[in-house]
Amino acid sequence: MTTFFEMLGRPTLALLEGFGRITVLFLSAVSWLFRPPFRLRLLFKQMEFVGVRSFWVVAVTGAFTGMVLSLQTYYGFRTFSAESLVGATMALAITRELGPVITALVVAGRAGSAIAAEIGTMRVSEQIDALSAMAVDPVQYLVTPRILAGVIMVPMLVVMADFVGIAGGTFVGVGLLDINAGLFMDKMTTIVELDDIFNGLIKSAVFGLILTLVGCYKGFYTTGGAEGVGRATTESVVVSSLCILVSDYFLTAAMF
Amino acid sequence: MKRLSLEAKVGFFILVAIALLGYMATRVQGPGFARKGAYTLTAYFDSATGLAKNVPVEIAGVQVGIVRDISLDNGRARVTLEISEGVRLTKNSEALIRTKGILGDKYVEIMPGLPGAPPLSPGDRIVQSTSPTDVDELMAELGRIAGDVRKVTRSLAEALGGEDGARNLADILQNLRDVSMALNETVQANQKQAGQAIENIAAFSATLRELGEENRQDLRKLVAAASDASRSLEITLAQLSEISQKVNQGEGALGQLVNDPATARRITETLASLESLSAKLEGETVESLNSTLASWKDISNRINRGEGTLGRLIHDDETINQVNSALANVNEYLGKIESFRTYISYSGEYLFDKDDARNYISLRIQPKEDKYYLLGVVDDPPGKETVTHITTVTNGVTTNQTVTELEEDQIKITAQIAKRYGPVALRGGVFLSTGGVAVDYFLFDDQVTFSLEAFDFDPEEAPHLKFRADWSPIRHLHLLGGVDDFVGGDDRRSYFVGAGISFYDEDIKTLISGAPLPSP
Repeated sequence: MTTFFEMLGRPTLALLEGFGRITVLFLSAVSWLFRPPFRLRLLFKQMEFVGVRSFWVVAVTGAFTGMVLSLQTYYGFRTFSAESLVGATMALAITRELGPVITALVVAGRAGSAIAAEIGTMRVSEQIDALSAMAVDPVQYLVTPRILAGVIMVPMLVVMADFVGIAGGTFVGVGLLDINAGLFMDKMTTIVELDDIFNGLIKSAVFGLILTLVGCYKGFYTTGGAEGVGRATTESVVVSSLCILVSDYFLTAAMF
Repeated sequence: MKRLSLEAKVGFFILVAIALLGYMATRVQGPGFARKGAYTLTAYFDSATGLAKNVPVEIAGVQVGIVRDISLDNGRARVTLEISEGVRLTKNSEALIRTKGILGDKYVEIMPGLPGAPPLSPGDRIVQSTSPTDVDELMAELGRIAGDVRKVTRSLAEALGGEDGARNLADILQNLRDVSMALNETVQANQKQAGQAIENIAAFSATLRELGEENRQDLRKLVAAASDASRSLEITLAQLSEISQKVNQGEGALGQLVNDPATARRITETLASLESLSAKLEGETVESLNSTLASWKDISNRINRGEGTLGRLIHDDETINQVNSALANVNEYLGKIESFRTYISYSGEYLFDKDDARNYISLRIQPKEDKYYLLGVVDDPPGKETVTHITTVTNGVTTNQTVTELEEDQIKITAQIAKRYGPVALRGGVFLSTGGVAVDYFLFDDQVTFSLEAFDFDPEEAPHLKFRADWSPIRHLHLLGGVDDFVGGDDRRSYFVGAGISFYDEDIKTLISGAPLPSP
């Protein structure tokens, strides 16, 4: 009987404990934003890692997303002779939804997992304890630069993904499917509004926060040696992807 | 090559991202409509169904604005339009809700009014508006039309359908065929005769026409006369028949006469003597009538030849020219009177430093738009101070005496002639009873006038210079201010303010022009 309650209670407690830890981690990371020392060098390093080095993977993903969108909507719109609307539909989908989400998922897979692995390794090899011993706050040294980098760089990547995606979609629509270029661009620019792009960027900033925070959290609380590091990496990708997709719905519902 | 530093890479990356964002932002805004400086207009529609905020407003297919707001106002749709700054619309413009594209997107089209009409200003309402035809209404109307068509076809079917109808139709067609066949035969049989007959008729009618054309006037008279004659004949015949009836019956004097042989003889005699008398009379009367007519003819011939006073009057071109030029002179004179303006004005200036006021009453006679005469009297209490230095030598002692004379409460006169060149007018003549010149500068449709007057050129003293600003906020009223005698030293300079009224006077104008004119 007790085992049954234990079975129920242990994961619940673990979940609550997780929420508490991630909240505390987040708050202390935020508090270090406003307290010296500011480690700009570390921030730039993380921005380079999260942002610049993710460019190619994000660009390729974005380009092909736009291309396939054009192709798919073309087959749909052709049935009622509204091919000129392909550009508008493709651009709307990319700026409002696919650009932010796909970029966030790719960055979560590339940078979020790397963050979890790096911090996890430092945890199991007791480097974090060493930092504490040297009177360097590990949150300030490791977590704050990564989260800030994520919040800044993911929207930047989304801008590029939007642009590359629309370019790819236009290439397919105008170049391959032979839709009239003037109509294609005109419909796109009249129907897409600046708000569509900006709301996508706001969402992507939240996604950047989520994926870096989850990565840091999973790494920070890694236990159990090399195996634990591997588990932390996997969990960080799964949890941040789930969080991104779930929060995407609520953010969209709140903004549009 | 040195590798890019970390910061440079990140900075470059962010710059590229911001540049791309900026590019996309400018593209999606589109060049269609500039919000800056736009103004709003409203239009009311019975129905604004399908119209949405931010849809375009177009003139001739060119976007000139957007729909800013749609609201309900007394059961009608009140649509607020935002129009670009440079687009000016006139009062008789019309707003329509139109449909574009296969999906039926609604937008607002404005049909611009005639260019001459007064312009619409921001916030105005476009009075004419046409709501879109409702598809349901259209369908209902089509349904009614279809009903009517069905009624017609049913009655047709009743008339023509069935065995009776078919038989009737067949009979009708049969008859038609018979008739046309018979006609055909007749025509073919009589083709030659018919041709001749037609030729004859043509010839006859041609002759007739010639005759008619030659004698058209006569014919018309003839017909009229015949008609008159026949009418009087009718009456006469009626009377005759009555008379003859009576005579036959031996009634009245004639009856008795007719029936009496003695009377008949006497009548015959009388008639004979009457005949001889009339023959004599005829000769004399005709002669005198002829001579009268001959002298008339003579007179009219002379007039025609231009002889005598009457003839000259009628025939001489000189006369006509003189009359024309006289008329032209009259016109010119009337025109002058028309442009002739006279104004009576009163104004007062209060001079602060003199603690006194100057009053002007003046008559402005303006025979032409750019020229006027100014006559007036000025009550000038401050007057003019004359300082005379008298040096007397008495018994070898030189006495310097300074006499200050102050002319007070003088009535002075103004008489000036002014000529205007565009916004500038030059005046010259008598100012406050001394000679002077002035320049006026007019602004804002003559509502504001700046004047600089210079007069009283005394060789020993500085001339009297006066600067005056005049503002006429409403017609007839003037507000004045300025500085008087500002080069004459501290004791002569004075700032002043004042007010005045001026009237355009019609009566004086007619008085001066010397002729009563009908007032317009």
